[in-house]
Amino acid sequence: MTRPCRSDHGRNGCLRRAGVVLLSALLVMPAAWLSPVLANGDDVAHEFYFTRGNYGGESGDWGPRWAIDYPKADQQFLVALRRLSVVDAYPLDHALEIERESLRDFPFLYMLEVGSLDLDEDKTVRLRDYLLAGGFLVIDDFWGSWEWQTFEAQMREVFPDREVVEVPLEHPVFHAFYEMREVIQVPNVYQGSTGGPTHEYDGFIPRVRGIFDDEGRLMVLINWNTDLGDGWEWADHPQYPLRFSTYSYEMGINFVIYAMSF
Amino acid sequence: MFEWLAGYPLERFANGTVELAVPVGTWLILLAGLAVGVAWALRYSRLVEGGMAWLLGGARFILLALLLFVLLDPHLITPSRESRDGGVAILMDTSASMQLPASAGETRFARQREVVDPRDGTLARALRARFSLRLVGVGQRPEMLHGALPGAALHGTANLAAAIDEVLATGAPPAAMVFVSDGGVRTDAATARALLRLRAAGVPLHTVHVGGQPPEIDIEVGPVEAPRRVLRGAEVRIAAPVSHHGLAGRTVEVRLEEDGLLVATRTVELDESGRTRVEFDYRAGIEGTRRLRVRVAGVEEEAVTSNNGRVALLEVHDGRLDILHFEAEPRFEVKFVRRALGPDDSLQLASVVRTAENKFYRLGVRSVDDMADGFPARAEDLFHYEVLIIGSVGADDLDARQQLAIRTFVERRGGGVLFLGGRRALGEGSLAGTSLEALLPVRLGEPAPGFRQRYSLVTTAAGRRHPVAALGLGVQGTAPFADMPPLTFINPIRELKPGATLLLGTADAGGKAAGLVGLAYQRFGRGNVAVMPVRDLWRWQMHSSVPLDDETHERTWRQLARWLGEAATDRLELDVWPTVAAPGEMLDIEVQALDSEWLPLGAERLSLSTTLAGGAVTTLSPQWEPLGEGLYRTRIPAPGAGLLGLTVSADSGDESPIHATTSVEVSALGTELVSLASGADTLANIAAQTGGMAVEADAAGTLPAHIEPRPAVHASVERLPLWNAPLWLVLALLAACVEWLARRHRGIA
Repeated sequence: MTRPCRSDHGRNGCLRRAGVVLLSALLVMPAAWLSPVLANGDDVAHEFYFTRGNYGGESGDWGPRWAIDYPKADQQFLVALRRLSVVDAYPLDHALEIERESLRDFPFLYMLEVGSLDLDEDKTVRLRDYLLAGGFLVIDDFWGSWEWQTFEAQMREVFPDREVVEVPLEHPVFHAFYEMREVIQVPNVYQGSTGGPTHEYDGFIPRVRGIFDDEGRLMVLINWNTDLGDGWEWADHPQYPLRFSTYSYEMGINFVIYAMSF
Repeated sequence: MFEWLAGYPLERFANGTVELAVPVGTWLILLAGLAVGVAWALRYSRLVEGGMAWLLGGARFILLALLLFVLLDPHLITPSRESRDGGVAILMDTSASMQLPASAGETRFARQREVVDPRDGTLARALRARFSLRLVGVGQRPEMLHGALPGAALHGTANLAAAIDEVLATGAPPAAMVFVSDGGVRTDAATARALLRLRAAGVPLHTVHVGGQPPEIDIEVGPVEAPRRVLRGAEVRIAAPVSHHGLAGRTVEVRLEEDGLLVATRTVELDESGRTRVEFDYRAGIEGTRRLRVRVAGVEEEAVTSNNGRVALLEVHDGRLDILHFEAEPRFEVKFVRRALGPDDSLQLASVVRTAENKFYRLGVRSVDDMADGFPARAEDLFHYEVLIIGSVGADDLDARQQLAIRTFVERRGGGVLFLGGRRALGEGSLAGTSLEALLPVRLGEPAPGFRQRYSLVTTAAGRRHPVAALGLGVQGTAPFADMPPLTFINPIRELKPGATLLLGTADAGGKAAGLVGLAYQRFGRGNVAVMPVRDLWRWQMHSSVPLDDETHERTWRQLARWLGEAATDRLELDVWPTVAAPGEMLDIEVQALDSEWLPLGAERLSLSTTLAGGAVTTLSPQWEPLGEGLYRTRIPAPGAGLLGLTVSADSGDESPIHATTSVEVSALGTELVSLASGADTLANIAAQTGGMAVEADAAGTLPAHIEPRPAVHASVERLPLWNAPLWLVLALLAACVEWLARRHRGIA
């Protein structure tokens, strides 16, 4: 997600950047405001759907928070997933309200920008049941202690009796397809492209945390203080460092393989 | 003339050979020695010389040679084909149950005598007019009765198979056999094989039922249906038929007991049909031999209560089934199979998933390097598994060696294989025409790449008693399959192969049969191959209509794995029949012994021991009858009383001996005296298998009219004695006369 440019990059640079962002928003927002593209629950032709969870909530300057980076990030990720693995993945984006019954047809769910997540009771229950039945949730792109507290409080509503814990590098999710040896911070496209600090707010350290079920299986994989979505979305940006996109793709493919195996 | 002299016609000598007690070489040496002796005697005597010496010597030599020939027990060995009347064999049930009443004041045995008595029995008299008769007693061992009927010493079980084999082995095949019995007869695999042999020989087995009428008030528990061996933790269905007379409308409690402890009860209302089937869900929790008993509390008016309970022995072993699940593409089925089987520590699952062109994700494998290159190419690398699950895998994903490895796994190792549906699977995966297609219980039609429909699974009639398909009826706490979410079919399969069994069919949203195969299987070699062309059984776990605590998905997978795994061949298998026997009753023991490559072991590597209830162990040295393919059979009498343990050990040479154990309950009651019910149905089934008729005792006299004479050409080799042929005496007399006349002529007689 792009942030307003800083004054030290020069006025012309700021204007140019704002223009790019505005143009992108004009392209994205109509799609975001329209009903998300849904897979036909009665005609599931592929083994895997990258399902982006529409959890409702507030909209910002760039549209609904759940739809940040949508659909390009999803589509870019799927291109790589289909090319680098043999996963039979639906090639297009697939967004779905999390309160839908048909969510249970798609055991992989991606949600981001959860820093102000506010689920009503129905969504809370549905999300809980989805995860306990065997669904797998990937959380991405939220930063800093304030957003963490909001998110954690919300997850405590979903799972009052489960702790959010660190996922160690030895965990199978880091080795399902690629061998991940470190967790790095993936910055948004602006900060990544300009070579500035990679963090946002006080989110200095990237963390991978999770919520496990009673059998020790990972149900929720939380990528905090990092933005994997931008790593996918801007992989084709000439200034966006390749190492961030590479890492994002590796992590994403690992998530998919893990979610389909455990 | 020749026949009078030689004793037999010339043709017999033309087709036969003469055999002496010594080899031909020895006979020639003896003759040579005889000739030398005679010549020396003549020379020594100096009484004759020249031509006379030759004459006298020759005559004496012939005389002595004839004597020597006769002393060497000459025989003429000649093939013989003889037309004989095979007659009719009457098989008379002499087992313990014949002591039971047939009607008021008359035992079944007495009723039987009225039918089979050679002098005035209704059946024997009618048969004797047209056939020669053989009378055989059918007890634990067959006994040729030679016209003398047995007394009251009736015991043991009617071993019909042994009696049939005895009749076929002695003399020409009969025109027919007639089995006169109350129907209390062993109906095991040996009996089925014997009936097949009869059918193949064209000998019908007719039956005459002498069971008579059961008591007015009686309730009886039939043989308990239970598996013989299960893994600890298995959930099985225990069932028993309950029949009654005179108790329609009554409600009774049927109990399942394990080692004397109550496990479950069922309240059953007895209906007019007189028969009902009671089922229990049982979980095998404790390792060892479990004595299960299905029992009905006695009804006050009953005269006999000994038939109110039946015992079955269940061997619970603490083993583990090893399962390999292979997918050629990542699928959610991998995840949900692991979730279903993981908590069961008697099921060990290894998953190998192809994630990229030459990249495999391996879970639960034995070592870091195990299957690093994907699915094994050597059959031996699969042998330690009992079950293979082949998912979305097509012909392009398995080379010829890998396909052959799967085939060998089923055929030789006796493992179980389950093929699932998927876009790369079955016909859509181009398995048609491959060596794997021969394994499948279904015919693969033309690939249907665009086909995608959702159907529900429904249990077929054949599946009602199957451990997997029975779950579909909503038993053991599972939801009926028809109520579960519909599943996706992208591999439409409609046709079974002959010999395959359809356990689950399919139905559309309206409940109408869809005609696609849901789950089918067949036996292949030593193993079983099943096809369940469903793409996403995981929907039974994930779908919003399924409560979180519903266990249908988990139980279905566990039952699938256990069913295929427990049917897998062990290297050493031991079976005994019957499992409840009277003291002294013969136990049929079958052993299959295979080496580490699942190839047959010799009988010399086997040892058998018994352990009595008191703990005394006895090592036996039985004669093993080879049945082929590492299968052996022997028989021993049941010793002692109580729980008898049988252990067979096999030494395959390359590792420590392997063992197999089983148990038999030795009880004075046995099983013979338990049933009061009529065995007419059993006898009718037996007769039907050989093309015979089943009649009641009153109609026994009508059977002969339905028996056609059967002149049998009996081929044999005859060994005819030659020593007593008049020819030798005539030759001897001639030789003696020649010598006497010659001596008289020379004045030396």
